[in-house]
Parts: sequence; C-alpha cells; structure tokens
Amino acid sequence: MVKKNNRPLKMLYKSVVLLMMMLLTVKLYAQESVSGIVKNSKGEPLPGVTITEKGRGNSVKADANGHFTIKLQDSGSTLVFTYIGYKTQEQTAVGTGTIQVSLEEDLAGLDEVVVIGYGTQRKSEVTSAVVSVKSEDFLKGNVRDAADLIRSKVAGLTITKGSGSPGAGSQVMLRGFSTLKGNAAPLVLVDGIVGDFATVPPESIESVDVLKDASASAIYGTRGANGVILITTKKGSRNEQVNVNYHAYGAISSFFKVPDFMDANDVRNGLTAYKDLGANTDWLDAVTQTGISQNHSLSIQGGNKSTTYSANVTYRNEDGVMKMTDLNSIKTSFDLTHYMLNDVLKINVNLVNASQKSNINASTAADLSSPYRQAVIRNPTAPIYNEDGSYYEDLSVFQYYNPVSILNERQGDNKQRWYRLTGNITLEPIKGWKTNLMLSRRNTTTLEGYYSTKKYYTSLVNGLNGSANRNDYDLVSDNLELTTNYVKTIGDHSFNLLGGYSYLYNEVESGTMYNFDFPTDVFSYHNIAAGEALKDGRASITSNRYDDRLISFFGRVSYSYKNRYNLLASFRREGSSKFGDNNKWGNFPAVSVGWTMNNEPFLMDATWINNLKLRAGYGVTGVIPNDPYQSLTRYNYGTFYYDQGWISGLDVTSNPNPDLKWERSAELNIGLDYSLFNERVSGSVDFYNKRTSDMLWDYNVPVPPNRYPTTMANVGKMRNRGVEVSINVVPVRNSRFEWRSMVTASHNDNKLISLSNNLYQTANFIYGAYAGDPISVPTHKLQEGQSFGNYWGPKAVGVTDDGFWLIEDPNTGETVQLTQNMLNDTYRQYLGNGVPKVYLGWSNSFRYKGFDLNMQLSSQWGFKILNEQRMFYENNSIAYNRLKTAQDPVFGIAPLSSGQSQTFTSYYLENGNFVKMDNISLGYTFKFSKIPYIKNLRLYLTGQNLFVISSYSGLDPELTNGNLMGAGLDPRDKYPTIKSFTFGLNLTL
Amino acid sequence: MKKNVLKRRSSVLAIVLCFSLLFMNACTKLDEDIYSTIATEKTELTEDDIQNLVAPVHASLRTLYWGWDGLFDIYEESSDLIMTPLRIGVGWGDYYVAMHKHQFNPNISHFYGLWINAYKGIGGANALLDLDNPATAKFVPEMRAMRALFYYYLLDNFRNVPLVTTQDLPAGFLPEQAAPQEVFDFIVSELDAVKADLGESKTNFGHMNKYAANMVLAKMYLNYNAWFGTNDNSYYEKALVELEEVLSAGYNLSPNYEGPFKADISSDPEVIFGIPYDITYAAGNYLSNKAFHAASAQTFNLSAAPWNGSGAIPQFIDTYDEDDERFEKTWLMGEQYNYNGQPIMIEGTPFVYTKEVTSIDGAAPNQGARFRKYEVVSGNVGTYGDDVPLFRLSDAYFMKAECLLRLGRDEQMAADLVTQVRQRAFKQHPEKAIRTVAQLKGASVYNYGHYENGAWKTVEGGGDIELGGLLDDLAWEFVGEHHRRQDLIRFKLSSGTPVYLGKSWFCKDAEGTASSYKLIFPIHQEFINSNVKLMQNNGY
Repeated sequence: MVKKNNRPLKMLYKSVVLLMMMLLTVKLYAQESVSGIVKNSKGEPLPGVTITEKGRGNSVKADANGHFTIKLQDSGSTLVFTYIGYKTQEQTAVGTGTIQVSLEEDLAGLDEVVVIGYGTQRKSEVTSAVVSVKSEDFLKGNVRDAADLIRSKVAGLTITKGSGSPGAGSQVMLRGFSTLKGNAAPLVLVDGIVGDFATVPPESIESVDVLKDASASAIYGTRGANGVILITTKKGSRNEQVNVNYHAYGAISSFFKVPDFMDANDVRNGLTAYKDLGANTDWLDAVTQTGISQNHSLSIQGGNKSTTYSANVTYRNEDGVMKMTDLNSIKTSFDLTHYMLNDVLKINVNLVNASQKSNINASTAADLSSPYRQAVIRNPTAPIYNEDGSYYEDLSVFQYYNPVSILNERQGDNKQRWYRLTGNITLEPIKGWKTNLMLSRRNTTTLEGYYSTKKYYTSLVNGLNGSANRNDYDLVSDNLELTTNYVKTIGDHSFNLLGGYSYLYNEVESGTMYNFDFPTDVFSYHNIAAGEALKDGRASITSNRYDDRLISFFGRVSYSYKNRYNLLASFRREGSSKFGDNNKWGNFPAVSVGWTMNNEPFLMDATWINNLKLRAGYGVTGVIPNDPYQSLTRYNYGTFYYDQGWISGLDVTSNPNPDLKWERSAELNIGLDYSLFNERVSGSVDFYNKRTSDMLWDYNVPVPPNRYPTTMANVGKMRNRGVEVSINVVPVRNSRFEWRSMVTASHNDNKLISLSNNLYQTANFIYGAYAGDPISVPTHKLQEGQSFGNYWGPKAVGVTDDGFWLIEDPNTGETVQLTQNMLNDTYRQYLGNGVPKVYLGWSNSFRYKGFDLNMQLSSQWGFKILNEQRMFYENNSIAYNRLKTAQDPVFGIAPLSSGQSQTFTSYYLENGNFVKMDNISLGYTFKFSKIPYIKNLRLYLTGQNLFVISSYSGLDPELTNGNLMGAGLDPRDKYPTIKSFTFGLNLTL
Repeated sequence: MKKNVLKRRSSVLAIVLCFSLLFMNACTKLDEDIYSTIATEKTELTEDDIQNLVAPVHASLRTLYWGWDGLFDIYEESSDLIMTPLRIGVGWGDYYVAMHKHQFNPNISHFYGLWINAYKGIGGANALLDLDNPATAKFVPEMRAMRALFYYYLLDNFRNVPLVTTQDLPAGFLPEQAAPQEVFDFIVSELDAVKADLGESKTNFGHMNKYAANMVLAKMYLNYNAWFGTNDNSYYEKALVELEEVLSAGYNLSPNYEGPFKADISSDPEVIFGIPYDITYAAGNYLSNKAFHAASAQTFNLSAAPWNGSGAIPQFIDTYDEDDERFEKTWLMGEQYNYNGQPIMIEGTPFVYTKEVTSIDGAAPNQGARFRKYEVVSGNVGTYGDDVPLFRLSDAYFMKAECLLRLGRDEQMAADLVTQVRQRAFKQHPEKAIRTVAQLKGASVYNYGHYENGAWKTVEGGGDIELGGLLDDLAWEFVGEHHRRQDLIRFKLSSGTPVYLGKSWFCKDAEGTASSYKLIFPIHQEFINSNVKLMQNNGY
C-alpha cells in the first residue's frame, strides 16, 4: 500500500528536478556580458567602483579608466554600483551595449560604511552615536600622530596638545572625565587590535571611527566606558590597478610664544635679586633653535582577481625647537589578502613594524632638570661659560643649574620598537554567513639609556661623579578572536547576527639599572658596570614581570525594517584576571533603536528632507583597573633588618580587596541625524547622560587596622551629561567651486555624587592637584556635589600698601592679610573651574579648479587657567629671574613685596577662553592627462597653530594635563607649544 | 551542489564547535600569575619567609624616627631648642612655622608620619603574633615589646588612640579609640610580661633587651602625672625600680659625649637600645641635609650640597656655659672652615653661621647655629647611615635624678648623677661639671620671651620654672634626642602651667592653661576621614 502510493510522488520529484536542471542549463546558456563606464558628476572616470548583479552576488570592479565588463547570470538584471563616498546607484542592464553611469557624490554619506567594531554598518542603519572620519577629511600638515588628523572633527572628542616636544602625544578625551583612577583615554583599536595613535603611520589610515556612546561601545565591555576609536588602515581592493603614492613634507617650527622675563638691563637696574655678572645672555636663545622636520611616506596598493595587497613605509625626522630634542622614526605596514575556493575562504596577513628613536631630553619630565625652566629663571647677566671653557654654575642658589649644561651633559636615547602581526582566516560557506578567526601578536619594546656626565648638575650637587641609567620594557600582547556573522534579508526585514569569543593575554617584563661614580665619561651608559657605586652597593638594579588576561563572549543583533526602523542590541560577558576573586565576570548589555522618519509615508512628500533619523540608545560599559594584582595581599622582599648583619625581610605592600571589579558606567544617548535641502545642510545632535558607579580609586582606609593606608576599591559615583552638535553646510557647490563648512560643538556637565559606600567611608573630597614645590598647596578640590576641575584656594582681593596678599576670609567675608598659618582649608574657597564648558571646532574647505584651501579653527570656552608661570615668577621674593610683570602693581595698589613668598591665590587664575587657528592649508592639484605614468600631483603649504585670540597672558591657552583632576593648570616646567609651517608634495603614480 | 554546501556547512560547524569547546575550559580561566611579587592568596609563605616578616616592624621603627617628618621633628620642632624657618630664596617654613608657633592643625604632616609608621609597626607585629607559628615563636617577646614601644609614642603624642592587638578582624572593621589609661595599662602589662624573655644580652644590637623594656616603662611612669593630670608620687617610685635594673646592668657612660652619636654605635658602652641605620641597606638620618647650608659640604667633604633648613633657637644658644665642650660637639656656629681648615668663602666673603635668626617667617640662608651632634661622614654618606641611640645610660641617670628630686629624697644623689654625666662635658674645667641640688632645683638660665627681628616683644626669663636647672641640663645633654617636647610638658612653672605652654621663645608666644589641649597633637585629618569612629582630640 505504502509503496504503491509512493511511486507517483517519486516520479513527480524526478521530473521536477530534471526540469529545474534544464532550466538552469538554459539560464547558463543565456549568460551575457555587459560593459560600461562609470564616471563622477564632473564626468571624470571613477576607478574601483564595485558593480554587482542584484540578487546574484557576482561582482566586478571598474578599472583605472572606469571601464567594466560583467557577465550577467540573468538577462535584464539590475546592476548595483557602489563606491565609498558616492551614492549607491542601480541601473537595469538592457541589451549588450555600453552603459554609462554617473555616480553622484554622497555628501551626507548615508551609504558610507561605518565601522562599529566586529563589523560595519551603513550610515543609514546606525542607531548610536558613531562618527566616521574618512582620510580625505583628515587634517594635513606636520602631523605627529593619528590624533592630529581628526582634531575638532568629532563633536565631544577633545584632542589637545599642550607641549611642543617631538615626543609628546595628544591628550584624547571623550565626553568629559568619568573616571578617577582608571584609564581616562578612549580604547584605540587599529584594525581590531589594541594600539595607540602613535603606532600607526598617519598616511596608512583609511578611516577613523569613533564610538561615542555606550550603546555602541558596550560591545567592548570593560574597556568601553571612555569610548572606542577604531582606526582602519588602507587595504588594496580586488581588480585594482597598482596605485603608488609618495607623500613628502618638510616643516619648520618655532615657539608659539615666549614669556617676557627680565633682561640684563633690568638686572642691572636692580629689578631682581641677581648681581650683575657682566655678561648679556639670552638663555632661551641659548637652548633653542628653529625646529626642522621632514616626513616621507611611500605607499603601494592594488589587487587582482584573487589577491589584494597594500604596503607603506614612512620615515620621519624631527629636530625640536629645544636643542637636543630630536626624534626619528621608521614605520612600515603590509597587508595581503587572498581569496580562495570561489571566495569561500579568505586569508589575510597584516604586519606593522616600526621603530622610533628620540633623544632622552625629548621625553624629560617636567622638573628642575627642565632646560626651559632653568633658561627662563637664569640670571641674564651670567655667562654661559667660564673663561676656561667650563660651564658657569652658581650652586649656592637652590635648584639653579646652567641649562646649556643640562642639554649637553646628559645624553641618551629612548628607543622604541613595535610590531603587530595579525592573521585572519575567514570562511564564508554560504553567502551571508562569515566566520572569522583572528590571531594577533603585538610586541612593544623600549630601551632607554642615558648618562649624566661629571659636569652635569647631579654630579656637582649630589656628588654622583657621572651617573648612568639603562631601562628596558617589553610588552607582548596575544589576541585570539573568533567571530561569526550572519546577514539575511527577508522581504522588508534585514537581520545581522554576530557572535564571538575573545581572549587577550598581556605580558610585560621590565628592568632598570642605575650606577654612578664612573672613572670616565667615555663609556656613557654603554658600560654600566664600570661605575664604582656598584661595588659600594649603592647602584640599583630592578626587574619586574606581570601579566593579565581578558576573556569575553559577545553577541549582537541588528534588525532593520523597511529602512525605517532599526534596532541594535548587544551583550558582552567579560572577565579579567585583574578583578578580585568575588567579581571575576561582568555583563555589559546595550540596546539602541533608530527611526528614519523621512522614509515614512507621511514625510515622503517633503523632498527637502534627505534624511531625518531619531536615535536612542542605552548601554553599560566598564573601566578596568590599570594594574594587575590590585586585589591581592602583596608582599615584597627588600626591607632590611639588622640581626648581627643586614637581612632582607618581607614587607606587606598592599591591602587585599577580593571584591575589586570594573568601574560601571551606564549611559543613555538620544540623537538626531539630519540632512536637508538636497544635502546642503546635514549633521547630528546628541544628548547623553552617563552615570558612573563603583568608581575605582585608591581610597584611604583606616590605619589601624589596615597596614597600608590605601586600598583600590570600587566606591564612588559620578554623573556626566552633555550635548554634542555637528553641522555640515555646503553653501556653494558647482563643478568649479565648492565650499564646505563644518561646525562641531560639545558641552559636558560633570558632578561627583559620592565618594563613600557602606564599607568605605571616606572624606567627601579629594584634593585634585597641588602646586609644585615650594608652594606645595592644593589647587583643586573634587568634592561630592561638585564637578571635576574646581579650583580651591584663597581668594585674593587686594594687597597691602607694602605688597602683601589680602584675601577674603570665606567665613566672615572680611578682608584679612594672608599669613603662613592661613594656608589651610579654613581660608580657601572655590575659585572657578579649569574644564572648558564648551568646545568648538569650525572647519572650512574650499575647492576651486585645482586649488584647495582648508581652514580649521578650534575654540574652548568657559574655563579658568592657573597661570603657574606667573604664580612662580611674578614674584619679588624669589632668588631667580622674574617676569617683567613682577614690577606691575597688583590690583593697581603695589607690586608684591620682596617679603611675600610665592603662593597660590585667585590672582593667578585667568580667563581661558580662546579661538585658535589650528591649521590653514593651501594646495594645488596638477592633472597629468598626457603623461601616462603620473596620475596626479598635489603641492601644499600648511600653517599650524598660527594665532590665538584670547585674553590669556600665558603662553598658550590650549592645555594638556596628565592629571585630569588638575584641569586648567598651565605648568611651570613645560615644553612650550610650537607653531609650524609645512610644505608638502603628494604624488600619485 | 546543495548537498555539498550542506556537508561543508556541517563540517565547518563541527570545526567551530570543537574549537570553541576546546577553548571553553582552558580559555575561561582568569587566574593571576605572579612573578616578581609575592601574594599570600597565590603562594604559601615558607618558613624562611615567615621569619622575615619581622623586617617591616623594624623598618617601621626606623621610618618612625627618620622618615620625613619623623620623631626628631616631633620632639624638637615645637620645642625651645630647634626650629625650621622660611629660608628666603631656599624654602622650608611652611608647616614647620605652625609647629614652632604651636599653631597645630590636623593637616600638619608630622602628625601623619608618626601615626602611620607606628601603626604599620603595630600591624606588622600583630600579624606575626597572629600566626602563632613555631617558626616565629622566638620573635614573640621582641614583637610584643616593640608593639608596646610604638604604643608608647602614640600615647605620648596623641593620647586617644585605638588599641588594636590583632589583624584577625572582619572586613571593614573600624576601631574606636581606647581610653588612655587602657593603652597605658596595655603597654605596662605587655612589657612586664616579656621583660624577662627579652634577655639581658647587650650585644644583640638593634633588638630590645630587658633593659630597653625597663627604659620604656621608666619613661611611662615618669610621665604619668603629666599625661593624666595626676599628682601621684608612686609612679616615680615605680620608675626608680625600672631604672635600678638598668643602672645595675653593667652599662657605662661613653668616655666622650659624641660616642653615642657615631655612625656605628653597636659597641658603644652607653647605648641600651639603638635603631640601626646603614647608608646601603637602611639609609635614613637626613639631618646633615636638613640642617646644613650648602657651604658646609666643604667642612665635611660632602659630595652633595645640603638643603639648608633647621637652625638653633638663639635664646637656647645663650644658655650654654662657654666651657661646655658639648657646644662645639652639638653646633656649627661662627666662621666656617673647609675640610683642610681653610676659611670657606662665598663670593669673596667668609662664610659665617650667625647665632641670630631674624624670624621664623623669614630667615637669611646663613642664620642660626646648625645641629651637628650626629657624626657627619664624608662623601655621599653624611648622616644617612648614623644609628640612633634611642635609649642611652645618661638618660637613665637623668631620669633617676629627676625622680629623686620630684620625690624630695636622696637629692644629693640626684645632683651627683647629673654631675657624673657632665664630667665628660667639662674635661678642661672639671669644677664646672659639678651641679648642686640648689642649682638643679633653682631657676632656668634660659631667657624666655618672644624674641623676633632682634627685639624683645616679651621678656619672661626662666626664674619661675620648677626644677629649672635640671630642665636646662636636660637640654644641653639631650638636645635633638626625642626629649624636649616631653620635658617641656613635664616641667612646670610655679603657676602649674607646663613650660611648653607657659613660656614664649623666639616667635612662639606664651599661652595659659586654656590652651592645655595643645599638650597633645591633633590626629591627622586623613585618619579622621578614613575612620568615622575616630574622634578628633578636643580643641582641634
């Protein structure tokens, strides 16, 4: 019975299969070729455009002249033309003739691909605060690191550079300060691997994407709370003609501004405590020079049907404005991708290798060995050298050394080398399902060695008789990541599913050697055992090793309906070995939604609206402690005790905290993306509210019973909220002239909510920063209910007739004379804030025929700067040189008395508001249509840090501060900022 | 074709699954590996390790004394002997001014250093005693004695302090302050309990023996009345019992005054308990740097330039007998000579330390006599390796003399004891070594009064100080030896006000008993902030 009934079905099945096979064969025979040319709106051919047969997935790329030929599987198929920076266009392939397609530039970039971590999204699908900056929008000029490329380009991302030292990096901060102890810098990933701005050659960068809010960055778990910056390097594309680019520039620089100190005549007129020593020396001139830098970069990229490649070599040499502060580096990168088995398998190898060598002075800490400090305070009537050629020194003055000797007599290098090796294997067994295994190793080694000769001040003052240091550092970071991703569209519904596992292992080994009392200066630090101090037991050697692991499981779903409603939800479960035993694993969920209103039927008629999308997102992220082993009771040998001889003993070095975990940050973000009037006006607005809890800090714990006065614990709470706005306008756009203008603005409001919990009840404040020696009083106080960066000190209201400070007694409001015993909290009050309320950036770019002109302004508003240089040197009691303004009457009454010692009062706080011309760049691009080997040549001239409009009397109101709690401090011992002019050429072959 | 895809798909799935399973176990482990540190959560301490846990207790005592803002400062900076002015063009001043003027406040870092180092030592001793391990049994008496010694310094300076005797406490435990009497009794009972077990060896330098315990007990009893506001003579009797044990132990006065202040005092016959320091293993005594002007580097052939801070209070310098040989051995004053005996010249003029000092709020770099009692070793060393004679035999002599005078019996014996100590100070003038009972019980020759900018704001003299002569002798013998603050509090004016409060000196003004709260220091604000159960001492 059963068999009988089955027979007809089997037959039917067989015939259907047969029919299908026949149809398929017919189709195969019906395959036809279509060729064409792709051009831009100006009629110029566009190479590299991807042409895909819709619904079939087969694709080709346009060649260098914009020509393409594609074999169609279905006659009359629709072709899809996609290209970064251009709107995607569809066209039906009719007939066999040549089709001409003109792609329109996508100014709003809706089809732009945005990197969101473990994948990409089209800009139109993005539901969180993500900003992408492409290479064509990067700032040009004397670019020290990748952070310089995107200055003021991303609202809410503050990039400042307050030092002119060739080795100085930028300070990067997103959405204000939210952490006390953990790392406040955003997580920087270079092609998915942890890195930093300095390690990538700027020329090799394709795009920088910034995940600003927690709904986007929560996929990075404990490292996401300060935002994530994703750097994508340039890759070759398939069927791309070889592209060779040579970019070179040279720059000259000088100090942006120098302070006005007393000169030799002033000393002779008795305006300082110095004696006239007869000479006439410009000390700052003696230690500075015109800074010269050069940068050469050579890139090659290309690809055939199955293999793509790109490579870059960049050489940089920089001689700083301060003498003996030179730096040179060579950075190389190489990327190779091969597609196999009908694109089912993709293999990628990526290699970055770089080395950098800088003079030890370039990285010198700000202290009394700062040549700048010693130059400005030195007696301008003192000679540099004695008659016998030795350095003129006067060691009876405290902490007062010849700056020329400081530069010449301490020599050494800091050598850094890093490499990054990444391999990817991608399997795409069926269209839309990709599984990727990434393995990477990152290695950074540093070797720092320097020698202070017998003429250096430490030899003269501390009797070291020549001292040498040699320090090494070696980091190896291994990363394994397995991700799987499935993309599917069913009708109006599009899904993107991601799952993954990540294992990160970091290991650091480091060591130091120090020896002194050398028989000769000849060895420098290269024969460190030759110092006698080693034999006396006074040399020192250290070595150190530590590691940590970070393990995560993560998943993400994105869903889109009719391009109107978008949803993104992610989850990461992450654990770190740095956490205490009771809290090894944390969960970091996030969800965000977007509503593209202009795609709704009711707005279809409003053609002036190109894009209008409302976004909302919420996510939980974390901050991880910087150092490992913080949860353990640690002991160390090296504390000696005497028992008929010295014996090394074991001492406790920390209190345990088995509850130690990540700092938790929960953020709500609401944003609006808009693009109006034929995309002439576009941009976005974002509001956020970020609550940080379990804040990491070295909390004071009671002694007794603890044996160590601080414990790293999760206690405090803080809130940050703010708004970010970006506006892009294209006032003029035609084939010959274009003017684009972009404004970014951000405001952040910060409040410390608590510094205590049940277990840790501490004072309700932290002194955020102190003025340096010899003033040594707090300058900032962070108190519950208050915000980061509040100044805390005596409020100066005048001076006595003989020049002593009069301050306001905050308890009575009365005016009292400030005496030594009043240097305590009773006489201090809040004096304003050092964190700018508003950051602004305004860039304009003009293009006229071959000319291009770019201007970038940055601005900060609503903050006060503590002018330390005035605090220390606008004083008449000091034994050192003084600012000329020390003679000016304070509050119009009298100059400070020679008996008024240096101290911190509100008098040294100045309004910091400024507008700065960061960058002006003028370029001309030559077209070589007749010379076959040259594609184009661009010559440009750039001026950086050209002028500032500000009432600030110090050197430069743009500050960087390592201690965030001391925001607004303009340090005394700085390497002043520079301005520079760059001439460059960019040749594409 | 479809079949192939499916096959491939499932095999890939299998690979991925296997791969992930493989990693599931191995790669979700978050253990911390330690390399260059020891953590008790990760490694068992060996017997050798455990023995070495005594190190932090000894190190805490070292740091208590010569850490920055250590015991030297605690006992001198608020006294009538030594001060650290604001040196124009150099620095200093700051909280040293507050110390000098008795403007104590909870933010002065001296009060931080004493507390933290004492309690670190106590915590270390507690931890070792908690172990109750056979490997550490031999350290038990010493650890208990040292813990008592730390509490003695806490009691003397802060009075109201927590008494913590174990580290085996619940997380978040906040100790309260114990009654001063309870702390006093604890110290006494601990020392009494371990005294015999500490042994009588005089050669185990750096370790408390029985006589060191006797000295702490004697000091506790001697100061009891001053601490607790009582007038109970039995405590002087108790002190005498302890002192007799020390005096009959076989210690001898060092033939020279400078003997106990040599860099190495491990074999000095006078030293009962010394804290060992060493330039290489345990450098600490930064006195040469704190006191000397840079030019004095030439005097001692120092390779480094000193920092020019502290100086003598001019009125105290005036009290010295011109033939007291201790003056030269304690102070640098007048014209200065280099290592080879040539005058030191600065910009063409001879370098001189003046006796006069303008003011605590502003002094010239060369003003004030400089403390040089500790041996200054040439080169890189200075005083950094100098041991500290925490208790020495002369101290026992003086304490016995004071007890007898306060008890009003055997007074001539008291005068003889003081005379005996003075003999090595007046080798050229032996007649001047003799001190009579009348002298000791008579006026102080210290001309107290507010003396600033070379002018007298008040002239108070020392005539109304009870046992004024003995107080003077204590200063000449023990200046710079963690003595003076305690002495000034114990010695009183005829009005009953402690000298510490009732007299002016240099820029410090006399105060009445309304300021009695200043007889103990405030608890540093950091500790108040981190333990809500701690009450600040009254008056602060």
